[in-house]
Amino acid sequence: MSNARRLLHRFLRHRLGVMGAAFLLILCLLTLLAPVITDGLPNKACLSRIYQPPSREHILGTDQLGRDVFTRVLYGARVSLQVGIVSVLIQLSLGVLLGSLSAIGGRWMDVLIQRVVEVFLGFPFLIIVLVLSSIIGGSQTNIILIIGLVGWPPICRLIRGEILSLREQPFFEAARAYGISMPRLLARHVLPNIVAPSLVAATLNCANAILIEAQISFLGFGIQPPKPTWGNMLMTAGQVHILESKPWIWLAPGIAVVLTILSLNFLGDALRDAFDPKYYI
Amino acid sequence: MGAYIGRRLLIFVPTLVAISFCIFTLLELAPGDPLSAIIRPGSSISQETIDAYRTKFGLDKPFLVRYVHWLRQALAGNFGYSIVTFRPVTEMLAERILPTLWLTLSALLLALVIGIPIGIISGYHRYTAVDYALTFFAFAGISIPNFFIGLVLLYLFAAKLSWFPIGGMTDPRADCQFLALLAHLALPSLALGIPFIATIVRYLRSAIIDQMSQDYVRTALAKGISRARALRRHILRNSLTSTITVVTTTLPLLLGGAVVIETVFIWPGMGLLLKTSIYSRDYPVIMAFVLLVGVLIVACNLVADMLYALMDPRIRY
Repeated sequence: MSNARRLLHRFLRHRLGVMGAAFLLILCLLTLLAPVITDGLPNKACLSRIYQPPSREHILGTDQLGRDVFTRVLYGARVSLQVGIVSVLIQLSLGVLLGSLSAIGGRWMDVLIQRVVEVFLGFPFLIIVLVLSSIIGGSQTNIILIIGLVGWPPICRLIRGEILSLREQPFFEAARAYGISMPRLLARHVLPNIVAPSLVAATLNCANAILIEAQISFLGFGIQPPKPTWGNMLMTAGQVHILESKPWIWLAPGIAVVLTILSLNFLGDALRDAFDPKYYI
Repeated sequence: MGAYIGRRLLIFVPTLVAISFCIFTLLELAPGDPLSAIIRPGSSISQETIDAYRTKFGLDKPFLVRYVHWLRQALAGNFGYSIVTFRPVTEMLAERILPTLWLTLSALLLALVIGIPIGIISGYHRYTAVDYALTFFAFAGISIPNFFIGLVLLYLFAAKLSWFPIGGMTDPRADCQFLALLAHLALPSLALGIPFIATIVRYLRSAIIDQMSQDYVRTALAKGISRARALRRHILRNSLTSTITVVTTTLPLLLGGAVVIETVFIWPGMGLLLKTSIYSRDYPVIMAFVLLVGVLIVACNLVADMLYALMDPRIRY
């Protein structure tokens, strides 16, 4: 128990990380409560109230179809969080599986997997996702699948490295000498050791997944309007008159993306510091 | 060295073929072919005409036949014709390469000129208020999506202050075309460069901090040289080497950013070409683009290896 408390203590010292966690918590709450806080209709158009600047009725103003920007930002957050969380879960399962296979599955397995990893890592992630989403269509499920299926290599490489260095540890050798089987060794001794780095990687990858979805939707190949996402809301800034004189329409989703990604990155950094005894000052 | 480069190239050719095959397969699985992208639904073109065109473009041949044909031509440097504009793909790419080169190289220059000094300051004054402020900004630079940076820059400096043009690359009315180009280049290269600056700062800072705790630095300090001199003479060399290598290998990733930034600033480069080609399912252009990025990655990795060997005499291949 004291271990967990020490961890918490170290995490709490990272003030930006705590702020990030707090922001994400508030964002999750707001998204869950979106139907209660707002009227629950992000697509309700009203042509008599288009392009209204922020006011008491519409705290973030209204857009080109008279839809409430605040409601749309909240419902956009749902999409972003779903994309981030689900695609990272896919990445984690693939990355951990292939990473451990690469580390313990023999030389040829290792060469094969690492070659694939190299190709994926060298290629601009955005371009792969862009080409794929334009081919199979940019629905939310497809975007999640693509980001999940393409984004595992960094985690794979990380897990492989961790396991390879664990194998060199005396405790590993001792356990093998005791005759503990490989699956049991993996489950009991290796898994607990890779939880921390995986969690850190998952947080950072989640930020990246949200960023990628926003970019793809911004380019018009992702989730299509009228379904609100931060990316396709930002697309309206392509029209000069909106960019120039109705900044509330694109600033709100933009700031939401920035704050979310910043929070996730800070959280990941704080977790890394908390988990790594090397950073313990 | 020569043998090493040869081996690397030998490994990469099959990789490129594999990538191109994957994309070719995926494009094949996608609904609709290039002809259906051109023909408006409900138009009066007869099925015979469509079939005739299919035969003419070779779209009726089996999948593998078309792939092998494409690959053979591509290896000979012929990427075929765009099925939308009917122009040679090589020609279309060629005219877009220069604008993208301008954009990415100026972003790189900006990142090096701004990022290296900041990284050095941050690492040298580690764990001070200055360092914390700089690392915070570096963190923000990585976290803020570059298209949002681009939009904000456009809003502030083009729309509100009118210091810079709002998009495009040239201005036919300008007296000096070069100055006009620079004015158009300023905002997009800054937007593309900011995340890159942040990457360099973070990497260089941790490299310097890492080097500072090495034995050779402790020895140098124990012999009585000042910290500043140790930084100039010993630490900087070692940490810049690894930073420059990282910068070179991550260079192709700038192309991903370029797609977005070129869209925001309507910059007529390769990114914008890729975007329009994807819209119109212009397979030959997409394939050529992907292959070009692949070649660029190999080239950058090779250059990085060579730079590393040049700068660090301990490295031998």
